[in-house]
This record gives sequence, structure tokens and C-alpha cells, in this order.
Amino acid sequence: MQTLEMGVAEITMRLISVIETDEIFQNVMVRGEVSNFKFSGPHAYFSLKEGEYLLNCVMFNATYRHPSGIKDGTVVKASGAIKVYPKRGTYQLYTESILEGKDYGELYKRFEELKIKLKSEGIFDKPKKEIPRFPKKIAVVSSKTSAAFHDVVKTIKKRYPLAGILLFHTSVQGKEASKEIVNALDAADRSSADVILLVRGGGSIEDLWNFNEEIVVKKVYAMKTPVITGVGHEVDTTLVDYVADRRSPTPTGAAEYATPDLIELKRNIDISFSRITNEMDQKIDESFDLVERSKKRLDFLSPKRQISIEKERTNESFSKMIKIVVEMIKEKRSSLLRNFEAISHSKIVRTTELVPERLDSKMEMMKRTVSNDISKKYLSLEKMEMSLNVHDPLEPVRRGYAMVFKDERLVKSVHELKKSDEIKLKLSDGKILSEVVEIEENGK
Amino acid sequence: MENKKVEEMCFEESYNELEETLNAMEKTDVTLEESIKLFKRGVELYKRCKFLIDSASLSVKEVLENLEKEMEIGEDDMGR
Repeated sequence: MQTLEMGVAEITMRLISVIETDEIFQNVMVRGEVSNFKFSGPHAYFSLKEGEYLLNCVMFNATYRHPSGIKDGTVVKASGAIKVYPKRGTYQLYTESILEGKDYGELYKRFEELKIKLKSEGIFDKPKKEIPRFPKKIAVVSSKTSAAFHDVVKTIKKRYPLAGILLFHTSVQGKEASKEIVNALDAADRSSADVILLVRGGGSIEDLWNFNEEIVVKKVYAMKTPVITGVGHEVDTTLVDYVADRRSPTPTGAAEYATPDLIELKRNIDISFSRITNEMDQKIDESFDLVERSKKRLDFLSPKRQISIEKERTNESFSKMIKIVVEMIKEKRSSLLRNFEAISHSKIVRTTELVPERLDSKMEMMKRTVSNDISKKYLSLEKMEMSLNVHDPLEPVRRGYAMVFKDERLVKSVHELKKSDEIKLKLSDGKILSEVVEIEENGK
Repeated sequence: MENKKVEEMCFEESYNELEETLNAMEKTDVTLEESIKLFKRGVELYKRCKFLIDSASLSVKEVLENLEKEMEIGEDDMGR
């Protein structure tokens, strides 16, 4: 951080604004032993001392206001406001009233001694227990009639009405109170409370002395349940504060430490609610986007595309096949042609090549010959038939001639017969059996 | 992986399988037959995812509407 440069006036004004806007500084009762008490006109000037500490005080028009018995060494309570005196660069208590107090010097000495003793025993080094964020039951160790208890109840009810309140009543003042406080603490520790408030309103060191007693301090030290102390006012410190898991300057403060603020809690819950609804919306949107992206991929990868690829591939294969077949045919043809050429160029072929021609002509000839032959034969057959018809032996018989048979054989010459031969004469309408009587050869 | 019925799947399951299916479809050595099978499965899974998202957003809407009604009643009570 950059070092600020400022004038004396400015730094003084800052000091004034800090001190004079502090509520406590502006209305405080300070305990101490009076020293250097003197008058200057009607105004009294003195100091209050406690051990090595010193506070300058001024009381205007003190003649009429200050108790008569006040002198150096008296223990008093001076009320007023702390203010800066710019001209001298000091601060002092502008005292409005003074109450004569008791001499607590002895008690302060005891307090310091006990503090040192307990510290040396390591009791103040006790690790602090965690205060539950959302207590179910809050035990209050206090006097049931005290303002402290009522403040605590009011604060708890206002901030976090969900928590139950258990009162462990004890007197908080007087000689016997220490034991009572210890018993009450013990009962509270054995109860179902998840946090314990040990509270008492403000008072003098004498009033609060029980909270400095060794047995009380050691009891708080030994507690299992977390303890919050709220003893006295802001300025009061008791020894139990050193061993408590949390110390608060006042009972109300202790109740505040013990409870979450319901209004703040509600706000947080509302924030959480909008967060979860947003998360849910986002989750749904994200899922939707994811699925839609998958859908696009699915469309892209759909078999439609693959089918067209397959189709193309099939077409390709087909044209490839056609090409191959065409090539094959071409190849076959050219090889045939080559073979043919080779054959046609060989001698055998050249000779055999003529054979069919010759054969053909032969055939033709044969055909011609055969058909001629056949037709000739056919003609001769016809002729024959005709001649047969002409030569039918029965034809002359039908015309009135007779046929001569001897022994069933046709007789064509007279030489075939002799006298007395039995012959048969065939006529158109029957036969005649006769005998050769006379043979007469032609010309003889 | 294809043993489980799509109707019984939760969103994560069906989405994961959809992814797997897509990856399987992306492989170059997938046959057309297989690819059709995968595509059918993919479409089923996509429908399932869609259905589950739609019902999820619907139930969110319902829950919020019910909550609003309850809040109104609650506020009335507080006012009394």
C-alpha cells in the first residue's frame, strides 16, 4: 500500500473523526484509581490509573458536580466521552459524572496472578471447538431472572427461532455461585444441547468474580460441548473468556455467535434456490444441446449417406465389371483373330480351305446326278408301268385271246408241247382242259 | 450393450450409448447392414434422450409451479 503523506492537522482530524464517531468512546464509564487530582478554576483535572495504564481526565465545572470524598488513591467510575485535544496532541476523558467506587486493587492483583497460573498450566492453549452453524438446541447457563438471559432468548428467537432453548439456572453472583455455575455447566454438558452459552450481564470485577474462579475456568476447559461466553459488557474480560471456544463481549453477542441470522439465511436459501434452478435449466439446456448435436451426427452418419456411397460403389463396381468384360471380349476377339490368322496362314488350312468348295461342287454334282437318276428311274418306272400295263398277259385274254399253260407254265412255242400233252387254256371268263391232238409248226 | 431395453434406460445410459453408437457408425469398416441396425438403435436412443429431457424440464416446471402455489398459501397464512 502506498504511504500517505499528510499534514499534522489532517492526521489529527482523522484521529478525531475515528474517536468521536465511536459509540463506546462517546459514552463510557471508566474505572480506575484517581491520581494528580487538582482544580484549575472551577474545572478539575486528574488521571485514572490501573496498573501501569493511565488516562487523563478533565471535568468542567467540577466544583458542583464531583463527590466530595474524591482524592488521590480513590477508586472511581468516571462517565463521559473520550475526545482528542488537538492543541496538545492528547486524548482525555471529558468527565460528566463520577461515582465513588470500591477499591478493587486486591481483586485485580488476584486476577492477574490466576491468569498467569492458569496460563502456565496451559489451560488457555486448549484448542477451540467448532461452534455448530445450525444448532438444534442451545443451552443457556445463566440466572433465569437476569436481563442477560432475556437478551439471549430474545436474540435467539429473533435470529433463529428453529433452535430450542434449554435454561440451566444458576445464581451468578455471590460466594456460593461458583459451585452452582459448575453444576449448571455440567448438567448442560450432559444435555442434548449442541452449544452452551455462559452469560451474565455487566458488573464490577467483584460482581463478575465467579467467572474468574479456578473451578469455573477449569470446568469450562473440560466441557465436551462448545461453550460461548458472554460475561459483562464490552470492556469486561473474565478468565472463562480465555478458555471458552468463543468469547463474546455481551450476552446478546454470545447469542448471535450461537445462531445463524434467519434473514441472512433466508437470503442465502433464496440465492441457493435460484442457483439450483439455474443449474437445472443449464443442465437441461446442456443435455438438449448434447442430444441435438448427436442427432446431427446421427443424421450425418445415417445409412442414407452410406447407401448412396454403397450405390456409387456398386455403380463403380458395375462399370468396372463391364469394362473388364468388354476388355475380356476384346481380348478374346483379338486372340481369336490372331489364331484365325495363324490358322489361315498355315498350309493345312490353305489346302483344307478348298475342301469344302470341292465338296460342295461334288455334292452339287451328286445331288444333280442323284436327282437325275431318280427322275430317270422314276420316268423308267413310269414307262415300265406303262409297258407293264401294255404287256399285261391278261390284256389279250380280255380281248378274246387264250393263254396256253402246261404244268402251270405259259406255253409260248409249239416246241414246248408234244402230242397227247394235257394243256390248260385260260380264257377271260374261265379255263379249259384239253389234249394236244396235232402239232403244226408255222411254215412247215 | 444392446440387451437393455431403451425404455428402461436413464438419460446418462441412453446418451452414452447414443455416443457409442455414433462412434461405431463412424468407423469406416462398418457394413451397410450393420450401419442400418446402428442407425435404428441410434434413433431409438435419441428419442429416449429427447423424451427424458422433455419430461425433466416438464417436472421442473411442475415443481416450480407447485412451489409457487405453496408459497402463495404460506404467505396468506403469515398474513393472518
